Amino acid sequence: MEKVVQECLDGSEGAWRTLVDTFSKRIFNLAYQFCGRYEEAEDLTQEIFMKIYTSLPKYDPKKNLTAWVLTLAKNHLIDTYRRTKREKTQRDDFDENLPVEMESGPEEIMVATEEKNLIWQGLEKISPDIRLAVILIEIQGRSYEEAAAILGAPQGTVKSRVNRGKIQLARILRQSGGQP
Amino acid sequence: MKCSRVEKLLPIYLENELPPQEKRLLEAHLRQCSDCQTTLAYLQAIPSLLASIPEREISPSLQAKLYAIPSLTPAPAKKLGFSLDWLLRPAFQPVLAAASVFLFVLSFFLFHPDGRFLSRSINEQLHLGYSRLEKIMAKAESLPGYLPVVRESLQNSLKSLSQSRPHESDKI
Repeated sequence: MEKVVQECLDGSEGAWRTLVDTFSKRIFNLAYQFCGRYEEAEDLTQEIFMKIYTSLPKYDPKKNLTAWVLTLAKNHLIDTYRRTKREKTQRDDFDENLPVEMESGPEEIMVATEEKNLIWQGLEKISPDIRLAVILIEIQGRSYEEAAAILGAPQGTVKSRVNRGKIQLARILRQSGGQP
Repeated sequence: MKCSRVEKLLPIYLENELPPQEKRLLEAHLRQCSDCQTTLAYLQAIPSLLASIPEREISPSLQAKLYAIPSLTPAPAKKLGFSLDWLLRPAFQPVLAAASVFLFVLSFFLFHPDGRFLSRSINEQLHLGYSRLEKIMAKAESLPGYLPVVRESLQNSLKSLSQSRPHESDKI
């Protein structure tokens, strides 16, 4: 991938497309799970890729490209959150067409969707640092090592943030009367 | 063990990473506290709920916008052979801090409205001190020539004193 970066710097359109194909879905999902609004996530993804493009000359080939790209994305998400936190509205409704266990009855399906919606909305109520740690580890299933590199924090700190996030989400579920 | 402490330890307990003694204390608390049992049940449910949030596909229109970024943005400037990153190194920070303090103090003299008056007053004080020192030195130099005159006048006054009061001059 380091070669692709060099080719991008040399003006290769194909190399830029490779870079976009490699990271666009990951960055979009990170942004969507962080902000909870589809259209805003699209705007954020575009801004992040513009930042990647203009920052390419600063990329150090000795460093991991994925971690570098996702760190840029993380910084942009946190900066935007701090700048616009007073303007935030509710997150999108959790998609009701999500697959649930086929054996479940309609009532169980409804309960499961409601729980997922509570968790999805609850993400908005936890601080951005904790939210990002929860997204990377629990939703995207990344390793603590990878999450620590992206967040620029020690693995112990990431673990502690994830645990605090789970406790806060458990409180939210409890207050909302969701079933354990 | 208090409920607030138990709540903090529950995620670690679920990962089976608690030391045996703390685990025994926590389990003893759980047997008696229905509130903490409920919290535990919620915490057990959360990882599967979070993991069930699916990945979304990006729209073709976004993909097209991302592909078009190089044509809309000026080409990134290539990295120069040298960089000034060393200025931002942590080891260099005390030097930068000292330089900032120096420039801050200097700015009082250069840009403060009273700065000129301040420097003029300092210059005057320096000149005054210097001229006083010069006067003292001049007096000190003339002192050896002046001493015989003082001695002579002292002797004369003693003589006149002894003549007017002969008995007291004996005592002296």
